[in-house]
Amino acid sequence: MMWLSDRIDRFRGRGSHAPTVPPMDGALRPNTKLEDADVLARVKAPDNLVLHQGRVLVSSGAVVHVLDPATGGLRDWRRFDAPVAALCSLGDRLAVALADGRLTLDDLAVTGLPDRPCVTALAAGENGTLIVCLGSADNGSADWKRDLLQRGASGSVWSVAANGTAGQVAGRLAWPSGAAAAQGTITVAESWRHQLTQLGGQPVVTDLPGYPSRLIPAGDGWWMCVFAPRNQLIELVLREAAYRNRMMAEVDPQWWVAPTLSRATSFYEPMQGGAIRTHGIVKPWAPMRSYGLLVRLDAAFRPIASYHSRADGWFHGITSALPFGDRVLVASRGGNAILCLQEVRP
Amino acid sequence: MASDFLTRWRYRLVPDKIVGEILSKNWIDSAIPFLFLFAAVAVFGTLIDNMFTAGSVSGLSRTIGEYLLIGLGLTIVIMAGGIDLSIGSVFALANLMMLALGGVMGWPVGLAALAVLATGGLIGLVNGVLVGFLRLRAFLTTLVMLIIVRAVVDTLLLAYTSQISSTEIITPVWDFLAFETVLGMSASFWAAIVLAVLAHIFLTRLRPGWHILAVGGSRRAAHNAGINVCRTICLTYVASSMLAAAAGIFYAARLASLGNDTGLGLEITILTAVVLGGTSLGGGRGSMFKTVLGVIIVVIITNSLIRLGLRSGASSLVLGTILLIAVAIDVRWVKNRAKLLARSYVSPTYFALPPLQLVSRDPASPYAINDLLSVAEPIGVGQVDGPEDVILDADCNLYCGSRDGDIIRFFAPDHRQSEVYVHIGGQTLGLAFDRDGSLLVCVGGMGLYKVTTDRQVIKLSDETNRSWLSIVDDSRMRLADDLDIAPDGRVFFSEATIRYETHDLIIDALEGRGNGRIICYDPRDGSSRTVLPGLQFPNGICMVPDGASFLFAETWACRISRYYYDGPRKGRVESVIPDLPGYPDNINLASDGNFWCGIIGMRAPAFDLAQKMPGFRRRMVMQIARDEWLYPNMNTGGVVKFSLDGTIVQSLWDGIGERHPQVTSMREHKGYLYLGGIFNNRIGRYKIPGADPDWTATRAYWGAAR
Amino acid sequence: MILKTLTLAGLGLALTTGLALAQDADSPGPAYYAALEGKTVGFVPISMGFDLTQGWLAGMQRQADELGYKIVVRDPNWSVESGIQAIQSLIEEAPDLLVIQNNDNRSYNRLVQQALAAGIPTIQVQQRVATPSDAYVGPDWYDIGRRTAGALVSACGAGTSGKIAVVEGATASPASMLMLAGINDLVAKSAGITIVSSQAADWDASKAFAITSTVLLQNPDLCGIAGFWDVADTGTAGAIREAGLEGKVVLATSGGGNREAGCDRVASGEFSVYHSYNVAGQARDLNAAIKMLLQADIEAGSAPFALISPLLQITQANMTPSSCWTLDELAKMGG
Repeated sequence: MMWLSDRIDRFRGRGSHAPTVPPMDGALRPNTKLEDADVLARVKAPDNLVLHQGRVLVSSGAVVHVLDPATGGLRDWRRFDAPVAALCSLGDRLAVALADGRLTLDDLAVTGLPDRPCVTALAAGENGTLIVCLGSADNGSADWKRDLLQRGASGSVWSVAANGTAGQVAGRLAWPSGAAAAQGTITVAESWRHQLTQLGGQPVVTDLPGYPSRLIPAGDGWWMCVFAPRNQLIELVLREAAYRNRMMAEVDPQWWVAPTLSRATSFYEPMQGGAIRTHGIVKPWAPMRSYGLLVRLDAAFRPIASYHSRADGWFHGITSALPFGDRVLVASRGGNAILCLQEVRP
Repeated sequence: MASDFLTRWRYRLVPDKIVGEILSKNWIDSAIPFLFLFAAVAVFGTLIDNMFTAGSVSGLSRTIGEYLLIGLGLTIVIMAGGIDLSIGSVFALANLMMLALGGVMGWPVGLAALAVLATGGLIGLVNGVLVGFLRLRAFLTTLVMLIIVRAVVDTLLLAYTSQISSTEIITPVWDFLAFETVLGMSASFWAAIVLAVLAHIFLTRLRPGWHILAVGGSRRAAHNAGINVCRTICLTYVASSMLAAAAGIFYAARLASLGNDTGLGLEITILTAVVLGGTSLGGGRGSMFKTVLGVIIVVIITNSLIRLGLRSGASSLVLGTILLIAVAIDVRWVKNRAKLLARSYVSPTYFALPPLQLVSRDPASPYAINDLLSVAEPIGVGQVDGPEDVILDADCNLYCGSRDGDIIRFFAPDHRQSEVYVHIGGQTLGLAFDRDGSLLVCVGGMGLYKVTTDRQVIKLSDETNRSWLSIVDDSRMRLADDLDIAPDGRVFFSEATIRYETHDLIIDALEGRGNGRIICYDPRDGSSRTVLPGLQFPNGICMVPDGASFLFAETWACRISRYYYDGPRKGRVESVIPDLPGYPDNINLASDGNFWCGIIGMRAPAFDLAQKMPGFRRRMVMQIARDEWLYPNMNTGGVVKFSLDGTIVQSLWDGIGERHPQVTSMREHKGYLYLGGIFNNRIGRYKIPGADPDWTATRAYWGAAR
Repeated sequence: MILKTLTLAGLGLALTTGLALAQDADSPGPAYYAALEGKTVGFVPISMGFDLTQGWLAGMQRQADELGYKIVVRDPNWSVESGIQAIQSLIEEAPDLLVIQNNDNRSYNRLVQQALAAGIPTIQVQQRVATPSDAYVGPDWYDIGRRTAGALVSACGAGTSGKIAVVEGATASPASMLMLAGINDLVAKSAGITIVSSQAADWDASKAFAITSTVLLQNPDLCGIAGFWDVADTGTAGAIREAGLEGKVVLATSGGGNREAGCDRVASGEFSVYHSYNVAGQARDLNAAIKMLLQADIEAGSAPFALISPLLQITQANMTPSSCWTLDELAKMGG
């Protein structure tokens, strides 16, 4: 009977098979605070903001810039031979992960990780360790859409000791892409499961309306970057194996029905009904595959405030945030900008 | 791919759309009771010998006739959103009065019958005033009336039984009512059938009948529409009581019974019949035909149960159960029918487009993207809503359609001032001037209209020949889209889809089927005929200046073809551009002898793939909200100029997408290109470098005469 | 061998024929059985499920089983409309005989005529429509009325208020009308007796209860009540008991003589005088009429006759165990 009702549910798209998306409500109620924030600097696809030894660093492709938080001035700090996947400051040392899988602590190469690890995020652990999130064992970090569409759950979290040796903390995660260490436990953002999971324990926040990624400490709580929204059409496609597989086989990845970091610019990208431009305007509630969302969490990871750039906005694809004094710097990878949020007290 | 091959044949061979189309029919409501009747006849006809012999049917026809009379009245009340429980008592009173007046008092049968009907009407009037004007609850009011009238009957019975028993009415009329049959059926049956037909005509064809349905559908809306709700409701009760009284007269004639159980529980039986027929207890839905079905079913069932020899109470139990089931089905059906229809009506099929040729900003490529249209001067920003087509007259006045059903005129020379030229009603789409300067308009949901120079609106065509095998009535026009006029005056116009209205045109794209057609209106005899059926959203139509053919665009098929309506190739369709990278809309003449074509949107690979997977689209439509559906991309479009051999000569885009994200129509006029867009709030004017500054389409069509 | 068998068979045939002939000569048996066997009798009571109809059917069924004919029962469940449909359908099916119990003297009139016209002999039981049919089996209602009134008149003589109430059956029912006439006629002749109330209880115990309660409230000194049917008068008796007038109000009623409905209540004192028309006897009358009509080769309705049920007065004084019947006995031995 259970099997039958499950089949019926699947056929009708009901019950556990309903391609529904939780509403943005409560603390996640939409606003335009992110869209209205000051643009501190224009950077092409800024990814990871870190504060290291008093300097604000931001990665953009293979380059790491130094950002002047007062003027927004940028200068090159270091240039790598591969795109930078993630940065993390451990106080005196800077951890740099490259998209080709190399991971270094200043000059010390980390050992013990799998071959060509797909680093999605780095975070400072307790006791001077470095926490490494590997999104997937099958796909590289640039191939995140494919991992989502393959319903990947091969991610893992590793801990790197000061001597550069890594050990696995947890596996079988669905694209872990952000970590927070506190009180002896590590909480990771499992993007494809739309939740924050306490390693060795229960999910702490579930059913988020977007894909969570990096977690950044913020006083007594955290900042959570949500790099893309969930979308009913994508949820449907995730349940439609035949369509998904043919799409992955026949269509260029940039035109897939999949979340994106930046607002659609090409007419080859799929468009949904609510997104038709009427009278020259795209409605803010239009269904989109990209969105700008930064969420403030309390110490127990409960959302208490949020900052949005909606469908009609441009600052989508939030990949990192950095508290700096009484301001918060925000990297909008899709909007090619570093934003500066004032008055962030909820 | 092999799977593509299978999918294609699967969808070609199994016509899924029929399910939805059948469900969209109004008569589908009667299908369930009809099947029920069929089952009842089959089951009881087998179980019981002699169930449907002539004599037996004739006997049944007496009961059916009486029940049907009452049922008609109750149906009218229920359709107006009320209920009348007093019918059983009124029936009993009518029976008693008839016997008393005709027998004891010795009145002529006709006079007695009139008096009885009048009494019934009076009781109905009391009900009607209480329920309709004083707004008492129908259920309680008529329940009280049931008790009061029943008490009156009992009192009269007690007092006059012996007197009435001792007299008998003996006249030929009475005997005819009671015993004679016409074509094997009783007089009451024929009376009821004639009344049912009349009532059906009344309810479906006459204004007061519509009022009843409107009141039942929504009291508030009916009131707002200017219907006298109180009076309408009141009159339904009068009708119901009078019909119950009429049934009582027939009953009196048949049985002359003074039993005190006359009409007892009759309201439940009749209610069962009416609801079983499919008339909704909620009001606003139902028909006489359904009640006829319901009554026949109930009579057959009760009669069969008696014949089967079921013991005390069993038939009441069965009848009650049937009522319960009927009400349950009614509630579920009314609640879910629209949902079921919405879901099953959309019926995607397999459709594969030719390979997509990618376009780029490389100026050398045929469809090169540029920003030329982003500098088009805006006309009438905010004054127009959805100008699908634009056209200019000889005096350079600019006309456009709108979503509100107007044709708006912008005055030459600067097009700043505007007026509503005429108001038509439906969304005004394609425009064309005929030889004498009248404006021909395709109106969505209405058909082909003509606006004369003195602003008179004349309907030219709103229906064509119905195709034989179509389940939906495809003779009516749903979405006349664009037109052009042949030199001999014949008007060829496209009807984009026969399955959807304007606001649902995207769903037509999701179906991927040839739901559209091109129709020819011949002004010489006023006839309209479908010349090209099965087209995939036929849209723009433009005469080729050879007097024998025209070009037409099929939007979702991304192709432009040429059809010969005359000359040696008459009837042939030739492909001109088979593989546009976007969705073509209107086609119009260019001054250099080429053709302009508006592009309403661009093909996206993910959507093209979905078109090859109908099951996916079907589940998408069923499972997620419309705003979330994968659409053809209609946020980018432009204008291309092509020659008759299919070569792209030029392309104009608004690559920025702010002013003219998509273009549905364009007209060249004196060196400028005027742009319309169905989702836009403006008309654009773009200076065409090097174009003939004197060329106008009107002159190119009709010569220098105008 | 073959020859021998044939001879034996021929001998056997001759013997049986001879035996039949011999029997025919001095006994009506074979023709009697042949006239009844395989026949069909339609029975349409006003409703099944109460003592009278159950009793008749039990008796008739017993004989039918014994003699090998079939009884087809159609139960209209108190509905005239259903009864009409039932009789109509039976006429369609053309049984060999119809037994009809009617509600009033009008509704079935035409149907009886139709049945007779169709050549179906028709027995009316308990009540009769205007058209006489082949047989009437039932009591003389006028007589019951007179006897009921007589019992009250003798009980409510000098020293009592002389007030009596009548709890009628259904107004339109011929039985009720005739009984009422009998009562009225007798009371009119008896000095000192007044009828203070005469209302119809529609053969229904709860209505009888309601009517009696009201009457007793209005006339606490009521002397007697004339009931029309034992089943309904359980309500009448209940109302008397509830008013605390048990033994003070005389209740005279009548019925089919079922033990629970009649004798038990006489024994308990609820009914003071009870006239039984004895359903067991009626069943036997019915059976007799059925047998006669199935054998008689006459045109339906051409020779109507009546079998009036003899009345049996039952009081506590004269009651014996055999005064009443039970359905069980009737099914086993009745008819």
